[in-house]
Amino acid sequence: MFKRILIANRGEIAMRVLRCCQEMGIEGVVACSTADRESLPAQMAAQSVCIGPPPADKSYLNENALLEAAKRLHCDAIHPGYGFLSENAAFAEKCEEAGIVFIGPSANIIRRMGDKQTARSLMREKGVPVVPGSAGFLDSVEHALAEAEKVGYPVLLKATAGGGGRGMRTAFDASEVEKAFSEAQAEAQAAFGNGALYLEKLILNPRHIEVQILGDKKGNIIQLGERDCSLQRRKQKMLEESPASCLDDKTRQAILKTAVKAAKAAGYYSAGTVEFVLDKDKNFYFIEMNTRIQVEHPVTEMVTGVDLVREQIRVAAGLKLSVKQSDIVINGHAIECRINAEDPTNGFRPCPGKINFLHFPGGNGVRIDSALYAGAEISPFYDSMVGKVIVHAPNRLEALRRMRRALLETVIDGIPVNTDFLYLILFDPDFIMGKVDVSFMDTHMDALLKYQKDSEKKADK
Amino acid sequence: MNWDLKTVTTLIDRFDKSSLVELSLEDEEGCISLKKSDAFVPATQAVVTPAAVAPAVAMPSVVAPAPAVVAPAAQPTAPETAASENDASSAAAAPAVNGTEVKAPMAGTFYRAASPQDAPYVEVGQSVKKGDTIGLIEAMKIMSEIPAPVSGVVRKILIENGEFAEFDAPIIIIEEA
Repeated sequence: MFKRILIANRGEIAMRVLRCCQEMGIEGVVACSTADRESLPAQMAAQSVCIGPPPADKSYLNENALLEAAKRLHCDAIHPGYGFLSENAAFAEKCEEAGIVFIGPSANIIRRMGDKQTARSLMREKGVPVVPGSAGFLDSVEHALAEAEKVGYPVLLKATAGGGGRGMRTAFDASEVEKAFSEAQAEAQAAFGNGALYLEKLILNPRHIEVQILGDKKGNIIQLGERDCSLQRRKQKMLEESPASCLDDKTRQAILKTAVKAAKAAGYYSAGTVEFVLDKDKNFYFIEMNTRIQVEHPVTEMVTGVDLVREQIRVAAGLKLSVKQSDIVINGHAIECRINAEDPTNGFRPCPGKINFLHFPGGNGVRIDSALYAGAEISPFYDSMVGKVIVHAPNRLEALRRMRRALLETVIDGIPVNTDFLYLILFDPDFIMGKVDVSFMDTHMDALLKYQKDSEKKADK
Repeated sequence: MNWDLKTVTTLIDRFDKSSLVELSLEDEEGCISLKKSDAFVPATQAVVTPAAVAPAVAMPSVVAPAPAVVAPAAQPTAPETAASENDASSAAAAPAVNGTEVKAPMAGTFYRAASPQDAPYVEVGQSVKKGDTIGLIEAMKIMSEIPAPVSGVVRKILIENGEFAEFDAPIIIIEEA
């Protein structure tokens, strides 16, 4: 087992990994930028090492500084968290070359699944349903038109090297294809250095269903149930649940089985997630695989009782999974809300600042994953997520009630946060009935913001 | 501690097998400082001083691989972090030095010379001009020169050759001339 792990991340995920290390008797060394020297993980760790100035490219993305620090401080392994270098195949390779274990899958797996078109082809080959689309890259606008005719409009032109919703353009009929093609290509080239595009049928307003996978280096692969992450604003998840209440058992089992098939096709190990879209007719299609631990991993931990970060570390150290598929039982319902330092009434503008007063909820079935503390400074250099409130209860309705209570109890004073906005979502009739797809925020935003404004007015009177 | 040969060699052996890179032990009868090659360049040095060295603290101190958060003195003996008051011989408790701190421009391993065969770029007491190279920082074989931000005299070297320096860690103090 590792003696010392370099935690190459920040905020709540650095706390998550640090806590796991502390429980396992492993010394966690937190790498931080100058802006995070006073952060909770940097202060709580046995050791912290400042590897650069605030900008991520000079600190959390600074591969050489991180590797040199890991080597000099005798770290056996590096945990990359999520984001930053967690899906960087070149970094994973450098770790391998330096004799430091990268806690995640191999560089080859990351590379193969990171290229979306390659991943699609592999899945198609193995009989995993993918969104209907082009077999390969689009050579020209004419090629794109031909492919679009085959699958039917509307279509999505996507960058193979893309991510985060970039390098994508929609075309609702043939007349829009040329513009979509050139724009997507240009954006992909600029953002990822690779303008290659492929084409997919655009599934309108799908649900986003993903499956948590765990694998070890001995070839064992299991699934730990699915998550519904349909509630998104501009492709950013706001709230996640497990299990997905929109699925009937038959569809659920089919999705879970297919996810394992996909992971096996990739030769996967460590923690990972297979993402699907579910259309109105309950057809599901593979879109991509995330080869890292994800933000929303706690909902799976709550319903299965499995510690995913612990399994990641164990697998990286060469041990086999501590659970078998038959040990995985989904118990109750879990919901996670992402708390962001942003102002929903002001276009969700991110708001850095200092926390004057902090009170997090507690009690039965409530979990908080956060690096906040009273007096903490939220800097403008990183994303605005400051914590996650997760609840678990015997069923979805009780989980909803518990989350309402938890958000009501949450006090974060000093910066605007989205807790009130999230609270209002939990009273929306469509949300309560589970009628949520990726367009929910677009259609319900105005009403929710109005409720928020009105409730604040009443409070002022 | 029993300062007989058997005990000392057992200590050295255990240290060698452990993952520690630096160990120092001190009491009324003697002191010992052990370092592995990773702690500094050149190779491990075991210094055993049987005579009393007027220590203030009798407790052994085990120093895990040192990040540059605690800046040690420039000599090879591991310093006590609580500097002793009666410290004629202790190198760690030097009085505060005035001058401009030169900070590490990036995180990495600090080298005082261009190569192990070369003389160090600077020594304490040496005059430097603004822009002169005063050391190197290396991260994964990428070397960066550290230029002197001011002209003056080198008063103190805070990080040892081959030691890891955090980003922005003070490396050298130059008294502006």
